[in-house]
Amino acid sequence: MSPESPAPADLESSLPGETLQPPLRDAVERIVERRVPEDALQQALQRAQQRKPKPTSRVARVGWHKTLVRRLAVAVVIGGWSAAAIVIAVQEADEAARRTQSQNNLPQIALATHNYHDSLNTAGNSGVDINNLFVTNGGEGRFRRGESDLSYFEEDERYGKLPVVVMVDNSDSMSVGEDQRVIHTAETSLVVKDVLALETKLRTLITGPKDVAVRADRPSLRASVTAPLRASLALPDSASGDFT
Amino acid sequence: MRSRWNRLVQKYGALVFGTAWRILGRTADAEDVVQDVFFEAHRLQRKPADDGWGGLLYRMATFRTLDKLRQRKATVPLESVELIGANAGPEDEAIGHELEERLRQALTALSDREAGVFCLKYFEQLSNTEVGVALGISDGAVRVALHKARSKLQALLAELNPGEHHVA
Repeated sequence: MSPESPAPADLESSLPGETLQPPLRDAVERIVERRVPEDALQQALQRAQQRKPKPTSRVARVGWHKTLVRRLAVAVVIGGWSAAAIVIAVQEADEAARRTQSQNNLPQIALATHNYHDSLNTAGNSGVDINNLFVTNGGEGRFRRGESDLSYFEEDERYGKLPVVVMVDNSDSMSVGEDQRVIHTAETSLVVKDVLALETKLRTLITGPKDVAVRADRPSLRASVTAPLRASLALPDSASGDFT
Repeated sequence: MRSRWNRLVQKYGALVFGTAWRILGRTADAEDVVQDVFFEAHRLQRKPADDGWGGLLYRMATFRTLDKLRQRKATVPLESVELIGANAGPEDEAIGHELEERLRQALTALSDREAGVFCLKYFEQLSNTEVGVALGISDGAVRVALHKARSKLQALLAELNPGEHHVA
């Protein structure tokens, strides 16, 4: 199918009704016989080639490789920001979970010490002695914030042998804020603002002694005292020591 | 990309220009059609295969040319006033030009399909099958359109030329 394809044998076909009658036949013959002006054709082609339209798509305009690099760069930037945002969100959620868990642990510690005190009726020694660790809630308000707090413990003959004494005091009469807790050790007294810091400090102290044991005067109280305490301090069950 | 465009223009430019030039009879208008057709072809979302360009460009060239022909005002172009041929007398030459213009004017009265079929069949001298492929219609439709086109054109030219003109 080209302009140079051979012409039909005769414009006037043999079938009636398919023939061109004058003057239509004359007009068609004149048009067909005229030759396309070669110079005009070449000029038209040259202009058409010079007026090549600009690529319409971005890929065709700048090339697929540049487009790909730009898109990859954008994807990397967006992916980086998204990953950072996700990591921050996960960290915040994890921190909130640990804070909640620590808050739940504190009543368990207090409950354990109260049980011990109620059972043994020993206010002075109120608390739980876990071998090298001594935890107390302050002994029914007998302790107040000040130097005398530790002096009471100093009367205990065991005090000097205990490398670490921890007293968790959340008494209402304390002059510290509601959101604050006091930790007394043999060396110093610490005021921690939030329960998370308290939990962290307790964990730091508890990991010091290698051999952890619970000493209780009444073996029947071991379970009621040690179980919540172990749970609150995240002690392993296998860490049970010599009960005497 | 540019070479591809150039190859397309170089390969089918004569086809498009020739189709437009025969229907329009003017170089400048045919050149405009060439530009329009290749622009349109360039913007096609789904481009045909290599062997499909011929039919597509025939169709585009024919219809764009007919559009151009319909937009043309009824004026006598300067370039149609050619020098008198050596083999024909001035009267015959003038009558022949007049006939061509009358035919072009009559083509504008036909539908797109009828005019397209007629131009491809008689001006480009394609077979019925080739016309059908170019316009995307069946052979039967080509024959029907051709019959209608012939009848209408002969009637129109007979009205315009009550006297029998026959140019040698």
